[in-house]
Amino acid sequence: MPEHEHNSFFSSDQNLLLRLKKYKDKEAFLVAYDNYANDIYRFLYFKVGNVEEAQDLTSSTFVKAWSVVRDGQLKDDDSYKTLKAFLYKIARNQAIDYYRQKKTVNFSDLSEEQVDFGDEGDAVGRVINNIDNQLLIEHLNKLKLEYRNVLVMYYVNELNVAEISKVLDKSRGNVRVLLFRATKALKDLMDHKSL
Amino acid sequence: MKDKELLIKLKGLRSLKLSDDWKDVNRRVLRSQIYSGQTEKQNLNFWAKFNVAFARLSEPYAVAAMIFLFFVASGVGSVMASKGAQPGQILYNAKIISERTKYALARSEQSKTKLNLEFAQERMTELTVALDNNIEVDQPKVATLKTDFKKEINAAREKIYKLQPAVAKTVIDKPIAVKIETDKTASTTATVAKTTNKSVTDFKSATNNKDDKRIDISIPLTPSAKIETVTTSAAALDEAELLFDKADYTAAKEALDKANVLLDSETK
Repeated sequence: MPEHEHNSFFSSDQNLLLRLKKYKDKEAFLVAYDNYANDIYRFLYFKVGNVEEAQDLTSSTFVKAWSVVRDGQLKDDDSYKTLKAFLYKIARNQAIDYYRQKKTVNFSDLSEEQVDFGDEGDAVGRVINNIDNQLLIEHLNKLKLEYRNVLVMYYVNELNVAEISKVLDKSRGNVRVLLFRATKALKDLMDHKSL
Repeated sequence: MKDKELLIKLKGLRSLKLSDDWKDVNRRVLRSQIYSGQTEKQNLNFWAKFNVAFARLSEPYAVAAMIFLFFVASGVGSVMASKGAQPGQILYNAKIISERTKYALARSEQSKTKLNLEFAQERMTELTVALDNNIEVDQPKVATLKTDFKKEINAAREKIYKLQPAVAKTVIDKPIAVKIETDKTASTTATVAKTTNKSVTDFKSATNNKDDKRIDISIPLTPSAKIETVTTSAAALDEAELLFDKADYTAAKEALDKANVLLDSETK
């Protein structure tokens, strides 16, 4: 079982959530931004297929999240057990609003953009890493949106099944089935490509 | 492919992340908005308490407060410095982030609509500056600014229709009188429907005879219509868009100002 499936009730995530609910702590919120901005960006990038739109949506996610905290709505909502689930839910809703406005999202842009894969490792290592990532993104691009979402949330952003079920408003059983099918679909694509 | 191999590949995508610069700028803007976005009532209470507390505080605490204010102000300062930024300049991203933040924090649909109008004005200003200053105009930038202007206008229009369903119905359903001349029969007036999203009307004739007809259609608003004759914010928006498409940016700006004023009076 991946590490993130373990009970993390006493993690700093929980402390942050408590501080936001109880005190609407601004500094705690900024720590949450520091901790989760990249995760939210990644989640949104795989949804909208564009760096700038993903950045915009990341920004608006945190602004919206703060307005929920500020207005006391988070305090009144006991369904969020983790701060991650709360932020991802907001991000997902931002993406849904984006889809409504945009009507069509061009996912063919997803693997053609020059995305920032960070600067870890040496120069050659970075290039190889980039090519691998671009190929993987190309395969992810071919999957159904819900498969792509669940794979990114589980494997890339390390949300657990409970958190994913909260974000997607699905039962945990459904999420597990979705994960299984998505993983199989991606493997089939990658195996077919390598033949 | 084995599961473990796939897992490693997927985890490799964790290296996809925001640039440090963007993340920092956005953090500063977010911080300034969080700390400055209190209600008026809260502000009064805060300042009242601050004045009392300050009088009693010894110097070290006053110094700490000044340091705190400096950090907040530096965030606000960067937002203010970005106000005049143009596309391609370093602070332009901060400007856009600041706009998005303001929009997301707006509490009412009316405030959001006014922000859409403000942002449309801003895009138009940026476009005119870009066209005035550059001998070789950066076409992709110009195209982006035009697209962004249209997005703001469309967003404002949608909200106006939501705020005033009666206005929306009037614009969509209002019949335009047409005169149909036929060779043999007397002219018949047919009513047509005008769609607001198109500059050319769609119409269907109410008459049964279809041969040799010439249909004269009078369209209430023409590109040359004077701003003074526009009486609703939605119509002013349409006018602004028409003028923008004709590259008459000065008149388009006037039309947007008019839309703003009309919106205020319509939503009182």
